Amino acid sequence: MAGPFSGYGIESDLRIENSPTSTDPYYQELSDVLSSGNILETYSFEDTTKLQQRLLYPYLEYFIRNDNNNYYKNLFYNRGIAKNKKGELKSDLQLHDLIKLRTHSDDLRGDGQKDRLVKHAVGSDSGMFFKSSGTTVGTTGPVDVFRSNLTLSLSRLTNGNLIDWSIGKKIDHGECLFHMAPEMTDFLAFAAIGSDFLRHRGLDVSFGAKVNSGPADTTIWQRIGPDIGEMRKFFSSPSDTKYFIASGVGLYKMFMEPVGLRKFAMKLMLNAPPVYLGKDGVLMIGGGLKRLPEEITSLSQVVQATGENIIAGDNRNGDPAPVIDMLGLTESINVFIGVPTSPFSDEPWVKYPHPLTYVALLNSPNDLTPVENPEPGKEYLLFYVNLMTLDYVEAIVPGDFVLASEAKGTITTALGDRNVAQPGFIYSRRAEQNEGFKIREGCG
Amino acid sequence: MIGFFKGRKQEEPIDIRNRFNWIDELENQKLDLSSQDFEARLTEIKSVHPFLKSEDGQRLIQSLYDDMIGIGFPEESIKIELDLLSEIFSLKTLDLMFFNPSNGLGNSFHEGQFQDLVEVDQSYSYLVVPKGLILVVGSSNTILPVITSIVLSYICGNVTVCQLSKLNGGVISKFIDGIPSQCSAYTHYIGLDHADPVDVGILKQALIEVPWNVINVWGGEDANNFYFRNVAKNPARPRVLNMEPLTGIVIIQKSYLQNNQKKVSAELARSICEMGQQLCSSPTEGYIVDDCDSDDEVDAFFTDLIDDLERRFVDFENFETSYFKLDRMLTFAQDHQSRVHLSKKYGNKISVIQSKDQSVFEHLDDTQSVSIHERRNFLELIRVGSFASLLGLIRRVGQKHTHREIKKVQTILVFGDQGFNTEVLRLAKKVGAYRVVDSRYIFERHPLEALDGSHLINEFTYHLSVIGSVPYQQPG
Repeated sequence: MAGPFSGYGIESDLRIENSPTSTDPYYQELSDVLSSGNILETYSFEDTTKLQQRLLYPYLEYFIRNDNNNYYKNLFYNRGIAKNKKGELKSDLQLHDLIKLRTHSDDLRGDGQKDRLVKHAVGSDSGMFFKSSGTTVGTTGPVDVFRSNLTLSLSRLTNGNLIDWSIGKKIDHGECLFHMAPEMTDFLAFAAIGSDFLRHRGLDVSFGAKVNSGPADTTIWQRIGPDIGEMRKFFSSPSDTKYFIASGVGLYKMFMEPVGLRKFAMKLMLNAPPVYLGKDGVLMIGGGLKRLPEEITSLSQVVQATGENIIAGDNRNGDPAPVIDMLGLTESINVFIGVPTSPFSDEPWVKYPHPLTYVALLNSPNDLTPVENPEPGKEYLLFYVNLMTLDYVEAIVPGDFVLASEAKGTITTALGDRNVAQPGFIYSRRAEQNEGFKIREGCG
Repeated sequence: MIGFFKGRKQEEPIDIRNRFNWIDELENQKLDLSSQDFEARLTEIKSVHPFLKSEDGQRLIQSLYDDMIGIGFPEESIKIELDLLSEIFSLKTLDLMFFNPSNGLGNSFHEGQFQDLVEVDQSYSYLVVPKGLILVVGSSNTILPVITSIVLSYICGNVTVCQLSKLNGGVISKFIDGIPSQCSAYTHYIGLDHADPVDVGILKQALIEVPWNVINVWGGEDANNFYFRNVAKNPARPRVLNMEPLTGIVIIQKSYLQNNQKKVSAELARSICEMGQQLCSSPTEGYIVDDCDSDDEVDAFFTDLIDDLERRFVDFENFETSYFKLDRMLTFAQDHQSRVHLSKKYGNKISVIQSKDQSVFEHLDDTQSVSIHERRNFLELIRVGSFASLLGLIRRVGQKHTHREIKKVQTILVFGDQGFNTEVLRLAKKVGAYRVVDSRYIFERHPLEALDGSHLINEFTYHLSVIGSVPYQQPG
């Protein structure tokens, strides 16, 4: 019961000084990079590439130094990164060589991450396990990823950078409501990391859902229900900076699905819609299309339908609150963040990585070659490496297709202009489940 | 209150006769066919070949092609199946199949004439007689095997009932109805849906109550389990002839390879590529038996093989998530000291794994392995130090997740000198393989060969023994 949210969530004091890895030179180097201000606001594409190139060898050497059971020494040799199994790296490595170290999300299901963990993370109780929702069809259980306190401490900084950059100012006050239950901060990465960061910055964090009691054989997802009191409290707060953090399905269930009497009852219970977020309020969404009905084919449908009812202001005359969509993956310590957008905008929702996340767009599932100059609007496969994940090599092919976006050094958002440190992408879709044509059964 | 007093809908009792009114005619049809002449039916079916070459025949073939394209069959496989379909009906193929010295009807062909009564010696003769009622269960992905079964069953003099997939059942019946033959009059279709509980009830009833003589199942694990379980309750004790998923392997003698690298590479590539490696005969695992004193690797061979595979590459289809799994398999292989050779042109759509001593996939779990049903142009070639180690390796082929549902090795493709090939033949007997072939017969079937150890014509007929000294004439 050490977590700050009714006993749940990432503990406030990460005690990183207790971790022997906190003296590792690579950790020190990352700390230096992150203490020099928000690099998203200042770095050009070139600066980001230079930084990533500069970190490439220190990053790989970190894993050799902290290897457990020679896993990385063998891996680097077998994948053509090292000259031998002693951990001597080849001398001409480039960033695109990181694809050789790829892990597919499915590799992280069950005990998949276990062998990949470095010394400080093996059997450690200084950290947390995060699990995916397990909604991907045709897989064997959820993705299960351990994050050490050390990595979580860096995540506070990097995800903080991302949100500050997106909002356009350093977030240090206000209120936020996660449309999820506090229990979820114990295993759901987006809930845990988001709530941890906002609490760490001094915001009041509340939760708009609770886990009801139910039969033992039911899952938490089946027992989750609204926490009317918390939602009502948040909606009626006079604060001028409120962040409402919800999933697409949460918004849908609250503001689109109820009709007639149910809509009336909802209004009576919540005193909403409309929801007033104060003049600096923002709606943050994530989770994609998970659990939404079939007729909803994009999240923009949901925010357009709810836009008039979620207002940046304290009365009907306010503008619709800007929306920031985030792509959060259990197997990524950092989110890929969107920028504030009008809910009625037709602009594509571009997601941007932190400069410490190396992103490459790959040709196709059968040709995992990083594409040098991705064509804007064309579909590619996403690959990323989180250079600040210190527990295992987080070089992931998550199985998501994205569209390359135009590489612009500056963009205009609903809350002003933004420097862009690394090209973004537009989420397109999950890979299709298709086992193909089989004739062997009838071959004879 | 409306509807409150409405009576409950009377559920119709499950009865196959309610659905298929021809069931009661089957016995008469059997009698009818048994009084007809075998040779007449064979001659009639021989007329199908010229018909298929005619305008009407070509229209029929085109119509089947269109239907199969509409269903979603890969274009390449449709072309191959339809070409072979015509081949089956050639005079030569039919004569070789029916008057095959290695099966039961070979002796019935005497001095250019078919004779019913075959005299073996003075006191023993036999008649080859149709078994009577055959149920053919087809799989949804091909048409050729089922059409072959239907036609052979008809020529043998049986009434045939087909349980076909809703997917391709229409294509098969269109063909049978479209050819100039009485075959369609003696062929019936049930097309019951495994997903519909009422249909499943009827199918079970059919399996238990209809006095089938043979049930010929073309299907995988689930289908075979279903049919075996239910047929066991049939008092007529039908024989179940199951054609299950099998696979091919290739065995290469290293010294032969070194002297014939281009030939082996070209022929092996062809064997893998045909029908997207989905034939039961296609090699999915191979062995290079090191019979040389030198330590020379055969790296150049792998380069040639990838080149040849690229030349023959047909992009059957894309299945995205399987490629991720495939990539996981390939990196697993890399991580376990196997070498992975990929196509620069087609990526991991062409993958050849070079392993040593044993399959790298023996310890791969099912979450990570793409089974041979889901992959194309993929071969693991294992270098072994001795011929003796092959027995164990081949026995373990079907135990791997990569080969799930595969019951055994059907075909052994061999590249070696005469002495080596003879050793392979001895090995084939030990592992229970059905065929040892050169590369041409990965794709083709010899008209004389047994099908997974059984001659369909033998399975669809039986010998009526005529014993003793009483004289008979040819019954006609």
